[in-house]
Amino acid sequence: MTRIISYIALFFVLLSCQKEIDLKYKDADPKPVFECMVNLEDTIHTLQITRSVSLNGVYQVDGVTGAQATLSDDLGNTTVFTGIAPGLYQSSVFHLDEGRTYTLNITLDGKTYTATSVMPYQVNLDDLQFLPGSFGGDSTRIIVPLRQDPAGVDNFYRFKVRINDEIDQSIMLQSDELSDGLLQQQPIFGSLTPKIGDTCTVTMFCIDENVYNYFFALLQNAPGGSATPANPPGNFSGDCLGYFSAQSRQSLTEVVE
Amino acid sequence: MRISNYGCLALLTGFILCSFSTFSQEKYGISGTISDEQTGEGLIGAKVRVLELNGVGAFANDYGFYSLTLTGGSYHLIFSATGYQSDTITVELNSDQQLNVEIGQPVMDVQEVTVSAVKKDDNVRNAQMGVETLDPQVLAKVPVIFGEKDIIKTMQLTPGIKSGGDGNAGFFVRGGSADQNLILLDEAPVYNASHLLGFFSTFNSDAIKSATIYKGGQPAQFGGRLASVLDVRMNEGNLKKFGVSGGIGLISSKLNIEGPIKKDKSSFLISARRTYADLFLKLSNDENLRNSQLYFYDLNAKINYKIGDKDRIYLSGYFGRDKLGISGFGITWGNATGTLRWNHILNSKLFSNTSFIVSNYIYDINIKSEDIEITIGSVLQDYNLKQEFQYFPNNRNKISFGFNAIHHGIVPGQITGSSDAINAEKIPSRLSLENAVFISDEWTASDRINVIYGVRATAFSLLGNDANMYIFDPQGNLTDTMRYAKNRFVKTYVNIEPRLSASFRYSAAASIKAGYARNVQNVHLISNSTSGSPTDIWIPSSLNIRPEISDQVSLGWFKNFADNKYEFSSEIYYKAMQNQIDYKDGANTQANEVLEGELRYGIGRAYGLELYFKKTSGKFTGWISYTLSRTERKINGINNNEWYKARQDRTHDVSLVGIYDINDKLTLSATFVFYTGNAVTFPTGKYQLDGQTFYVYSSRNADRMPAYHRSDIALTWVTKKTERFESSWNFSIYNFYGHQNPYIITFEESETQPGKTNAIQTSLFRMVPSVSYNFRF
Repeated sequence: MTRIISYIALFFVLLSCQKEIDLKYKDADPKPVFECMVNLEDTIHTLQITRSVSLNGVYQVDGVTGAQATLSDDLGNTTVFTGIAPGLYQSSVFHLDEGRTYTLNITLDGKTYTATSVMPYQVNLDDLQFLPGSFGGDSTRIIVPLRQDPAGVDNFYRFKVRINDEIDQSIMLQSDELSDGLLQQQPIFGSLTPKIGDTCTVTMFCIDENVYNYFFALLQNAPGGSATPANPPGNFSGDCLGYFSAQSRQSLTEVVE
Repeated sequence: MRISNYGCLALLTGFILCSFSTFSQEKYGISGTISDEQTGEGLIGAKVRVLELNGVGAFANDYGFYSLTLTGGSYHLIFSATGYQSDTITVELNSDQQLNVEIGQPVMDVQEVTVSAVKKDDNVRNAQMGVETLDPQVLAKVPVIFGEKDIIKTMQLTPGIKSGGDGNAGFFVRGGSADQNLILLDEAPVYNASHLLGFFSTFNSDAIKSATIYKGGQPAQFGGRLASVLDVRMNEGNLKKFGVSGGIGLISSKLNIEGPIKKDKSSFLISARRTYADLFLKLSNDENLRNSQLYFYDLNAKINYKIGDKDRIYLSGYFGRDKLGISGFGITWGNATGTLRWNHILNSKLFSNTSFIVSNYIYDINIKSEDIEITIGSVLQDYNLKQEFQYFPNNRNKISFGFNAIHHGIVPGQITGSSDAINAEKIPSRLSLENAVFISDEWTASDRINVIYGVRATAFSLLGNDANMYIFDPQGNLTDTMRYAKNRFVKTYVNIEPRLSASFRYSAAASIKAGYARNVQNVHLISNSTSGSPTDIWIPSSLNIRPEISDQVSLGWFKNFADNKYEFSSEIYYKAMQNQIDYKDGANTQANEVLEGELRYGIGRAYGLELYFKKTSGKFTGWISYTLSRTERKINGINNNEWYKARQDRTHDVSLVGIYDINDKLTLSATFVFYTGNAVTFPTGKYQLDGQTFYVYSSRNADRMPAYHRSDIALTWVTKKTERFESSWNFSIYNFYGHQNPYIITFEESETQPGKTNAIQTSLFRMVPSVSYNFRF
């Protein structure tokens, strides 16, 4: 729906004008920001910890040190994260499995933050299809990541796209809510448009529902989205920002034709 | 304020019955219609008074019907209406009598004629408070965007009615949200009253006879929304002669044809409008924009037929569609309404109107690429039967009573696809039945005291639809799934809505008024977009959503000065609202089956002061209106369960309107509006995920958009005005000093100063000049 609103906004653009204005910003206290993606394919996992800053503040380059973190599964296995660089923590070898529930426990400045995520059963990314685009001329293409969705399970997907050497920063999400059990052929739209001859890499993550909802809510805060932006409901307990995602990762690279 | 609902109903009914003091003198009824001499149109609100009996008189109802009861004898009856010359008729009353009267507008050279001897102090005398009636003459002169005169935009210049801002046809009445306004066109509810994303309202003013808005204290005949009722009535069609009128403007044109089918018996009216804004897109450099569509059209039609002296049938309809299409993507939306009405005069004291109404609102989103075509469609369809009797037992009471039954069918976001890419799931209509009975009495208790009191009882029933109904706990977790057979009663909500409005005239031109009203709303618009979108979803009360309820108390002081040349009024109100609905933080607002799990419920309150000063006659007319108000909500699970400002909360809202008739041919008009910016949520910090910046938010709606102000001017030049042909030019400039008012504010990282966050304001219109040519023959 956000997309529809932005189409409608296209008309407005013709009549509208923009300018920078002076607003007095209110500043909230900094909150810790946790970002941890553990991939099915990996055995060593990383955790990034930063802090939010005021609107006119500069991000701390040195990150947040002194946190204690553990990753455990529902069988009782645990690994401890150790700091390898300011704000960057790394686990020892730890194998992940589909269908298992993982818990991330972080202690920082005497406070504990906990998140859980379920490793989804992986859906294979079979092929990339490039369809003629409707914006920007004949040589542009729309990317369709094709895969066969298993019936009877809710599946959630997140995508990352790289075109030549440029990474598309957009959040691209899909779910099988309307296409359960079918060949998934919905296109993904980011901010970059591939053209014939470009090299395109699509990375697909199978994610769990909470992580999908987290990114979905993050997307709602984009301009033209929600009238009431709010911090997305992350899967961490405690007053913090960020998410923990147990996910699987697959990539396909093709030349656009 | 908890009165036993049924006790209250019984008490009131008893009171109504007792309040007719019956004397056994020989009394006779005299009744009929008051209509326009040139067109035969019934005159709503026209007045008849008795020369011999001071203070005895009656107003014509929405069909021009009046009824008086007098003791036998000889009287002079004076018929009048605003803008008309009064007519005095002598009657010898010795039996019930029917008297249809036609009165005329003053002939040319208006200047010196004092138009009618009507006392212009109705605003002071009338018990109804919180009401605004739009004068079509004023409507024609107030400047508006693109030169297209607009009822809703002009209404927003009066106190208590706030504009949604540029590019938003929604309006907010006394803190209510946009969906809490009941908008009626010939009694048919119009679910989306905007065209072109809010630049125009759906009402083609050429086809409109009258427009009245009640700001929450409406009489019991009306119900179904919390904040207001906008009652718009279409012209009936000229019964005397054919006429064509029209207008040609920069982005729209319109044509209106009316005339008798059989003189003085039946007539028709057809009015059509089409915009061609997309012609401007052809000038664009972008190929996609050049090939895009953006237009709307609408059609109003009406026929009426008088069967004898006692019956009249009206059939009226509206059809409008907006189309927006950009390569591969299209959206169509619009309303269609149809009203079949039968007026029947049972006797000189009893008038009946029966209406059968169909209302329909649709939107379709169409996405097309090479081999996939997906359509998301939504339909809202109402069948509505309304019976109203108006009983005039004596000259002191006018009683309305009747019932209203509405069947709602809503299909929210049905997705269909031409390919095998999606599971085309048939979503069944959500069905519901809304029944109401009402009784209301307009009682002239004394020369000084007027009272309108009544009660409305509503029963809203959710009906089964052979589909899953989901039940959620307050946290939005699914707790149960139910399934009911089609049209089986699932749940019924009964509510009693008492209404009271009274005035006490303590001096010749001054009065105090007070009112209380309870309103109940059973269909709700769930919107989370910045300015309202045609794709916002209407949903009925359900197992999770309870009827919204509001209780409003208001108090007013009304005073006219200098022989009613100046009117002043001030009103204060306090409104408490229950079962208010909002989306939870980060809700998934896409049309999904379990949408209700994304909703949170709570209470609301709104209070304010409205001041209104108006000059109603002379070469220079106009008004100043000011509203000071506060609107807040407290919803479970939002903003830590603390009160927060509703989006439409605005502290100050000022409108100035000036109309100056330079001479017969030239009229200059200007408006100025100023209001506090809407309550919004700005970020309070930022952070990075995967190298990308996101913003931190704290309290909901704790910030303000910058204040809005704008001035528009217009010049109307009547080039020709004869009995047979009339033509005029209208030149206007919207936002003539080009202030950039904020439409939306977005935040982005500065590219030049590391760390700095820039606030970027987007404005829609800097200055919009327009010209239109209007004619009539």
